Amino acid sequence: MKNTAKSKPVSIRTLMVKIVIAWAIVAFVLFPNVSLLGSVFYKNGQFSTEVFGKVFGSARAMKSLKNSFILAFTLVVTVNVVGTLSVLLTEYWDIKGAKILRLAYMSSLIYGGVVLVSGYKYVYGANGILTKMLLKLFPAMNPGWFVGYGAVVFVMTFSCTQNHMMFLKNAIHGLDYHTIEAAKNMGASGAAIFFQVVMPVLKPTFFAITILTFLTGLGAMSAPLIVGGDNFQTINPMIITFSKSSYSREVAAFLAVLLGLATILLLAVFSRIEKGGNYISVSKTKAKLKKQKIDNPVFNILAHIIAYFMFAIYVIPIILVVLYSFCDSLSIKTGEITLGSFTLANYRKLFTSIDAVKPYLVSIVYSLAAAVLAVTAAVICARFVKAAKHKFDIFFEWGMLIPWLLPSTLIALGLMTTYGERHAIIFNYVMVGTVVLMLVGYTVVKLPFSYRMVKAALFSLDSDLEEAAKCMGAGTLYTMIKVIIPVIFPAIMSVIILNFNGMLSDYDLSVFLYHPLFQPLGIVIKAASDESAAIDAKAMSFVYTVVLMVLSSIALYFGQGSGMARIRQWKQRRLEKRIAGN
Amino acid sequence: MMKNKKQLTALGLSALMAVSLTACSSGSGSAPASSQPAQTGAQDSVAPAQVDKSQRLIVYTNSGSNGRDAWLKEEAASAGYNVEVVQIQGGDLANRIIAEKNNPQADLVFGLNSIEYEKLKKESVLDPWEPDWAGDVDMSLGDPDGYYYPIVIQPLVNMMNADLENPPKDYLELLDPQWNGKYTILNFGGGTGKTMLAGLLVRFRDDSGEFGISEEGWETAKKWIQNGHMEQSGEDYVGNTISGQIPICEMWGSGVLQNQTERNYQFQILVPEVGVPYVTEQVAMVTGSKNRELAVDFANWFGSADTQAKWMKQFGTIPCQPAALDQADDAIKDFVAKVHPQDMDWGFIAENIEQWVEKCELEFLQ
Repeated sequence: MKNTAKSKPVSIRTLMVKIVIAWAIVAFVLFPNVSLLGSVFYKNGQFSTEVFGKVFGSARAMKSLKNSFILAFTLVVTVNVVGTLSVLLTEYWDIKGAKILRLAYMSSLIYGGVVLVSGYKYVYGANGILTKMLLKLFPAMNPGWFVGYGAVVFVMTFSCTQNHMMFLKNAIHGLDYHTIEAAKNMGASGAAIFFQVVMPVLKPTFFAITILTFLTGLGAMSAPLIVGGDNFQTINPMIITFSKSSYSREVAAFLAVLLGLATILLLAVFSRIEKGGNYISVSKTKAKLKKQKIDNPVFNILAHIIAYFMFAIYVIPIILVVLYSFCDSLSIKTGEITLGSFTLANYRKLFTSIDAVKPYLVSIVYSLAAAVLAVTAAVICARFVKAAKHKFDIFFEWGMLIPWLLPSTLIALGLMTTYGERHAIIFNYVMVGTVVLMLVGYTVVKLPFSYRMVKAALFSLDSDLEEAAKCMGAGTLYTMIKVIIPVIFPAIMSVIILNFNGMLSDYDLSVFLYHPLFQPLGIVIKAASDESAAIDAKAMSFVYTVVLMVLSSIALYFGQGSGMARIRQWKQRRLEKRIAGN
Repeated sequence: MMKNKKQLTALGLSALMAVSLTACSSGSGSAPASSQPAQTGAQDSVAPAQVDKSQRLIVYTNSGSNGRDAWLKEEAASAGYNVEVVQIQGGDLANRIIAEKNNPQADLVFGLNSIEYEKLKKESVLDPWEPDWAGDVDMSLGDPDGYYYPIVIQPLVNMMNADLENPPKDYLELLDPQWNGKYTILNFGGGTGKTMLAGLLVRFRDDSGEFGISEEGWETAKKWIQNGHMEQSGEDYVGNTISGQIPICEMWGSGVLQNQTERNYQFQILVPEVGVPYVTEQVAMVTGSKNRELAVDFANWFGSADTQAKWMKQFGTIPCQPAALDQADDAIKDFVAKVHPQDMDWGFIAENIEQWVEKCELEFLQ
């Protein structure tokens, strides 16, 4: 792919962009984190080794670390299976009611964290509805069965398929149906087509999603805390607790570095495998995918049963969350819901005054700006890496991926402690206490994900398109805007929306970075749902989840195109009417 | 192609919005610009006869949830003050004030406890001052150096199931096997869990021991942690106390009162002879504030018996102002009568608490 024959002289414009991006990476990604780690490990002029003994001597830390890795490896398998199944059931095979199934499978896109896990607990936990039903059938069973490794894996498997529903779906729709038809004509079976024709094209997407899933497993937080029980706690909650205490920060940083090393190893392995080459359809007129009928009636029925079984797993917790948001806190805590428990009071509390709207606006503006900034940087860097002319260009890849190596709490701390002082690298500007700080933080933590997904999209792009544009005399920028971006636009929009939804209710990062007069939503939610402070905390956490579900769904609706299409149709009709009226 | 363009335009617009938001706020001058050096003494010497109440004060607190922030803002407005109340959780609040050292945003802070204020004092982000009500409150709860002054008391206790027979009379009794798994210890990340741990450890102070605690003290803490039940996120520990499943539970004072009303239940309270930790919410002045006169004036108003009585009636707090406490309802008076403070050296605790928590988290928790 590399064009080493006769490279054109580097244009000034490209060089300028490279310098600016390189500066931004150094100033906002590298420098704060390096100086944080430096200050943590390098004490009184020497490298502190005390922390090794502390961490390796702690049975609890070691066990949690081991659990995190077990979870990450398990999830890579289970999430890929369930995620792929959900995409195939809704997009590839012809299943009755695919539309409604799709909505259910996409539910993990619009809610997550503590509330999602609580939703599952209300189904399977000791007071859960399923457990209560089972107890009637088998009175001898243990009501606390939904605890530990199995429970954590179950919850996380079904809550982490959002990347499949976004990116694998996009990739499947990008398939060239001609290739499938050709294989059929040559007499290939359904299975052969699937494994030898369809799967290879989806490979880059699978790699990217697998990395994401592994990292999600390593960083697991709410599921182990809530359903992990005594025997299956993971390392991330410990890291967060320790990083908030200035004395214990070295323990947090050390644990984070251990996870970071594992991440580097994983990324390097995948980078290597990926170089093995990608399969791209060479056809210039791609045909749209047609849903495949499952010919074997037994398999067909089985596929339907699985599809609707999964539907139930996805839908019941979300229904409970919505129902509970209308209940008073005490009923939620005790799990005894009667007709009298229902109230609208929770929702009334949302909009007590005009001030209540402000956090929504703040969060929407920050999340959107950061989502777009991160994706823009990702597109530019992925482009640099794909068209790499110089060894130095790989710097952009690692620069973009670095925020994956540290938990967001530490990244926030790095920014906060570093730029509370004056530093020449950002022209002696004290960023702490300004509105810029949180925008930088939001953008930085979204860089790796944006980069990885944009890269996957860019690398599965047919490079002939680009060459054709070049042959016709288009410049780099023109080719980028007019040829490349339109083709990978669905992926770009998906990334922007996931970024946006991900930051909308962020707490871990925001709490360190926000400007006191511009409180984001996450801070407000935390204050309203903190059990030690608020009487109706439990109910309010559900109410806010429902509000966020609505916001995220709106974002999804517009981002995935159907919303925009509707508006365009409406405008078109109005235009037609006006013309007809004249 | 059209579709893409429109979507891009929409995104561009919103990005622009974000930029203009940035521009507005940095231009309006509400936040001190970064180029201004922190100035403390300069303003104090001016001393105008009457404070200009129209200036905006920024108040940081960890005690602003549950509508307290909005209530305070309104109440202050009717007293003529223009305040912005910013609610930030306990541990994060102190970290933030320290981080903003070079670009301070807040004029005053209230709600934090002595441990946190000692931390802030050490980082030199607080200024000494004196409210006009300093003589009314029990200053043994405040700071002898005059940096922070007490407003609200929060006794931390263990509450117990009402029907629990032969209840323990001291935390040390809990180490007995008969209480195995029968008491909930709250997370050491939170204020209550942390301070209860400190309350236990300071009884074994030994300056030659590890982190100032004797061998016996560490042995006790280990047994106490391992014999008990550590809070798990999302569990209903108050419900477990009432049902008798785990009949003893750590709780902060207003939490006891609140749960008694909410669940219509009367808990037994475990009060050892040595007393219980009294966490006291305090008020202090942040270094670098440009409205010191006004901030002190506001603190005088906020800490007064009058305002504290209203605060108590609205939110069920236990005020330090004796005149305000006199107006309390029976539930609060009842509770206050049952407990008495444990003698704790907050400076010593502030110096060591992080080490203690880390040791327990790494070595004792399972």
